[in-house]
Amino acid sequence: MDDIEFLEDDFEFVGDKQDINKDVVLPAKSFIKDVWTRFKANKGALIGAILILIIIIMAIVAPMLSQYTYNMQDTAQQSMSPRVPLLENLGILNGKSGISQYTGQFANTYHLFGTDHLGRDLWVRVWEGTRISLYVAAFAVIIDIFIGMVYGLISGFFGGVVDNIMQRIQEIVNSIPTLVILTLLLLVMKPSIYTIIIALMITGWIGMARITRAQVLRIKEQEFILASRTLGASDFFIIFKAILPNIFGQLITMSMFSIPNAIFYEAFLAFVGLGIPAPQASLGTLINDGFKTILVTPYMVVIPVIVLAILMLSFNLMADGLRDAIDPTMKEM
Amino acid sequence: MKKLKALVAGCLAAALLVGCGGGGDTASSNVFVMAKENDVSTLDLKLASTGMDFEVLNAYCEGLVALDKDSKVIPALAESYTISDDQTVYTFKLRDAKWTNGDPVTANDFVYSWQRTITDGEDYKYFFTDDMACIKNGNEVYAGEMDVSELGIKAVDDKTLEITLSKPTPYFLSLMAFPTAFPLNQKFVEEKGKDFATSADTVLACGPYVLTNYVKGSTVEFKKNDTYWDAENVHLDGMKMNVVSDASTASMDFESGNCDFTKINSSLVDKYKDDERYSSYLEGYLWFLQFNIANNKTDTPLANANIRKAISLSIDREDLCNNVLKDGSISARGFVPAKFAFGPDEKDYAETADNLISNDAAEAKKYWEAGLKELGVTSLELNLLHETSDPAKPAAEFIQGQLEKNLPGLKVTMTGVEKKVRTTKQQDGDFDITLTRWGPDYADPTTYLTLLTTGHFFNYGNWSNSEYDAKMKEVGSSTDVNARWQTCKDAEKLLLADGNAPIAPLFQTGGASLISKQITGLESHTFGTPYIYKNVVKK
Amino acid sequence: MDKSTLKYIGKRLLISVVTLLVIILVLFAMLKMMPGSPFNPEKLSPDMIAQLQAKYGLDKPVLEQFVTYLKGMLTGDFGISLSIAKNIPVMDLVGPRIGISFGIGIAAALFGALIGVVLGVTAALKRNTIWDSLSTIIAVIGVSIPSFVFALLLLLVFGLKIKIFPILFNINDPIRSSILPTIALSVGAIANVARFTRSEMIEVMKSDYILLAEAKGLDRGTLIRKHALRNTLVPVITVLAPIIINLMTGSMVIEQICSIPGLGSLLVRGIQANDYYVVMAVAFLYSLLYVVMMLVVDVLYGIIDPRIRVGKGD
Repeated sequence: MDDIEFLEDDFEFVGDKQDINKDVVLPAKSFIKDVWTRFKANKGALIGAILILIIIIMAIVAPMLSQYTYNMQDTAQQSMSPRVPLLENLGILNGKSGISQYTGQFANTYHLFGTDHLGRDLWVRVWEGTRISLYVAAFAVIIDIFIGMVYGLISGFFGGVVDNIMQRIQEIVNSIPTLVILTLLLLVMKPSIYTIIIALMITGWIGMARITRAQVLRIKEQEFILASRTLGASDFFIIFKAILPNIFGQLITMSMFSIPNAIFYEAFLAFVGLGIPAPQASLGTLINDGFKTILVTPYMVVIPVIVLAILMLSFNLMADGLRDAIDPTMKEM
Repeated sequence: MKKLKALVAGCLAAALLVGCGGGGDTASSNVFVMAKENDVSTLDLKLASTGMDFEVLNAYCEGLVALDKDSKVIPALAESYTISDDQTVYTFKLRDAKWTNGDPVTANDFVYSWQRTITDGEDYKYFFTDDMACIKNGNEVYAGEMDVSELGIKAVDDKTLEITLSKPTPYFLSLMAFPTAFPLNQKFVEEKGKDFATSADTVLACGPYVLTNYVKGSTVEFKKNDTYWDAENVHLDGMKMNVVSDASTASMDFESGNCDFTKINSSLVDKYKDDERYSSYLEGYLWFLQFNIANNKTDTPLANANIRKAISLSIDREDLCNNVLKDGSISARGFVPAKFAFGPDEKDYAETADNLISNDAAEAKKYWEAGLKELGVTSLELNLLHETSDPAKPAAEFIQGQLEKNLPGLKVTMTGVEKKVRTTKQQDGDFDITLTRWGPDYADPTTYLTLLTTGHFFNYGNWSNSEYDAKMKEVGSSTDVNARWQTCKDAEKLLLADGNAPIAPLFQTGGASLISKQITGLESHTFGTPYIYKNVVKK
Repeated sequence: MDKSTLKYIGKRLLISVVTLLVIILVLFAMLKMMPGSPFNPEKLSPDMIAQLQAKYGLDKPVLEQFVTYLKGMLTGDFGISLSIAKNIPVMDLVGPRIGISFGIGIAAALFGALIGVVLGVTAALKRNTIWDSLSTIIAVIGVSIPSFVFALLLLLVFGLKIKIFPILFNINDPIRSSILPTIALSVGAIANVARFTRSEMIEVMKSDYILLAEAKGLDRGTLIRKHALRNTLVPVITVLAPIIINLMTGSMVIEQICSIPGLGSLLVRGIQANDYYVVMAVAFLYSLLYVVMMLVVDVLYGIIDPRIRVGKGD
């Protein structure tokens, strides 16, 4: 300490006191806008969102624009491999590796994704199948919100005996192996989109319920709830006006994460025989049917797997981005 | 992190190291290795019911007679037999064959086995009744109205077996090659008690091979039986059956050289159809559409014969067999499959009978419109029940496409379920059209034709026609084999004539398979045991 | 162990037992609702089916059957197979398969956890770089390519093209023939563990004690190994329990493809054949395993962190 020697310019006058007290007021931003700004800044999330948009558009438009329909059979054109204009000149996707060839009357035919064993155009079937996967995605969100969220809210908010009973039920449902539930369903129900939705309903809500309950428990103990209660607010008011808005962001993120799971679940259901009934197709049933011929016509399984992977990747990226945007401090789930 | 990396590297190295050891079992020795889709469900002949059960039983055991490669009867455990003039008493003279415990095979072994099956059997308990082998008092013993000792089978002495039938039965002899009719060593069965036929050690062989190893769900292994009466004509050292449920895996196993024989599915046929290892067998299963005509005593739209005819006409069976199934399946010519029943003239029934099936989309449309007019509707929605395994699934999808394309105003919804669910739904009448099949129980057209008589429990569509019933009754009581044969043909013609046709026969299944070039002598059959391995030679 | 911990374990155990009982009841009821019978109706007349039902006591009221079954279960008798291996006690069928399935399931879980942790940690430490994106992409591809497609590809490459592993499972050489199915099975686990590890690791790296350690001048290697990794792995273990169970159930598809005589393939065949007691035993075994695993994880967690206890939130 003794060695220190103060020089003249060691200390400087920082400025006018009035300057210090002046507050820089940034323009107020709404929550939504804030989220959007942060979301935009996340490149991955943006790419995900754009990909999803493209897939949605393709799922709607591609089957409409094609000259083929998803159930038009022609055994003369069976198992043709993909043939894409332009790319065929480069020697890839030239349609030469399939069973039926693009010769004779089909010399000018183009099946972008090839055809299946009954000669149905896979371009149309893949996008039709994507449509089913998107329905499943939508239902997954609805189920999450209407069953999972409500269950978690009630269980978490009321606590005590109600919570105890509801938790046990949840635990029991959770401890029957999914596969057993599924296969039993398979035997009791007809394969259809409704069966898929019911299968989702049975197990899909559990994750959401658990998160909601945990969040409610966290918020419930906070002072503003106590204040609200002291002021005589009803349970209904507290749940919907005080708790829900505080946890809604997380719940949205959570349900976004459940989408890729649900899409994959559909594919899995198709494998155990609970898929969409023929002649409709979903990505799951396409993968499953294509799998049987994987050694002969691998494109039949590769293409839907790629679409499935892109769809899941996009939803994951988007959910990631959304989570960071809504609540940057939130832990990943 | 370093530790982790080291661990990963170690694991991979270990994996590779293990990977490089030993070549595993190969199909190079004189052992016939097969990949089988299904596991054996039992080794006990009183319970045996699946093709795989029968194949295994036929490998280690034998009947009074056997079938040669053309499904003709040849002697086996019986070296000769005589038939009484009224064709109801068969006397078999047994040869000096031995069980692997050293006991001789005696006439009593057959009596014991038959009595055991009819009192305590399951799927083929009805083997001895008039629905199958027509053994005297079979029906009564089966129903529990008579003591089992009354069954028409008697050991005259150790080497002479006398079997009495309830009526002349032209196909009786071929049924003696059916595994349910095989003998059992009473002493051994009783000694093993509850454990009998639960493992390789608890069965006794008298056939060409001996069971050496049975791992449930995985493998069945055999070695040659040196004490077999015809051992000099058995050329393999052994056999191995691996249960491989996935067809792609099975074909890879075949490609890798570890397997000599496997069935493949139709998609793999495209890859192998020009390969010299590809072969296709005709199986006895006939697939057909059955229409639900009366449900709870009320007529369905399918009670209209024009509608049924239209549906049958609109399906291009050649296209289905050649381009969709591709496994060697052939288009049906009637309700009786080809190459399975041979008449008194030694000729194939299906070949000599008329072709009763045609495909004609334009004609179909005419019948369809006439039918819709009679029903007073412009469109129909029908449900097609089918199982989800091959070949039913691709066939059902193809049929749906054909019907909707050729019959304007028809919408076909699909119910794809497991086989057991399909059959249950059929029994409950819970279907409009079902894609179903029948495998023959014995080598005679009646195994198919009786299915559609009034009140028969497999007549799921509740079709009824007194003229047809009368014809079938005539077949049942006929003593003149030639006349009987002709009556069968007449009945079939009547069954599929305009105005009747409660079913639409589609195709007879083919078994597409890959077989190593080293293998010869594999015999396949359209009924009973699908494959017989006795004469297989591996070069 | 103090009294409250014991009390907690007791309570948890009781809940598990009740859960299991309910599962048995639900399973039994559902099995009885299954259409069809274990007997082959393709060839049997309704009469004969009724006879067989009577022979095996399936014609009795469901409740009576349930009580009989439950009694049997307590004495270790899980009934007999009615269809897929006729008259053979279910335990004789299940017994030899437990080791095979669990072995593969656990091996796949460990392998998956190892690779998953490495991927996740790499991603977290190099956050927002190409490594991070790469590991995310690998993780997502891992979950979106169905394991059966992956299994077949492995068989094709390592079984058929480069013949270093057998294509079929071989009971006499279980280790070598389990390697490919194990890898195929672990793909999903790798993806899940990687994602979870990444987020946990990021969380940990942001925490104060890491900042303190950093400020103390600890070198990065020690910091990660001694402080960050250890704290990341504790929660990772909790996700591992369900992953192991999922792997055992998930193995059903892989078992079909690689023809492994395990529990999964037994369950599939049991369901296809309506073989009640086989389905019941396998499903019960899975549930038992799941409940026990959850119990162990819960109890361990309760001991480590008494705040986390039943009824007090997650």
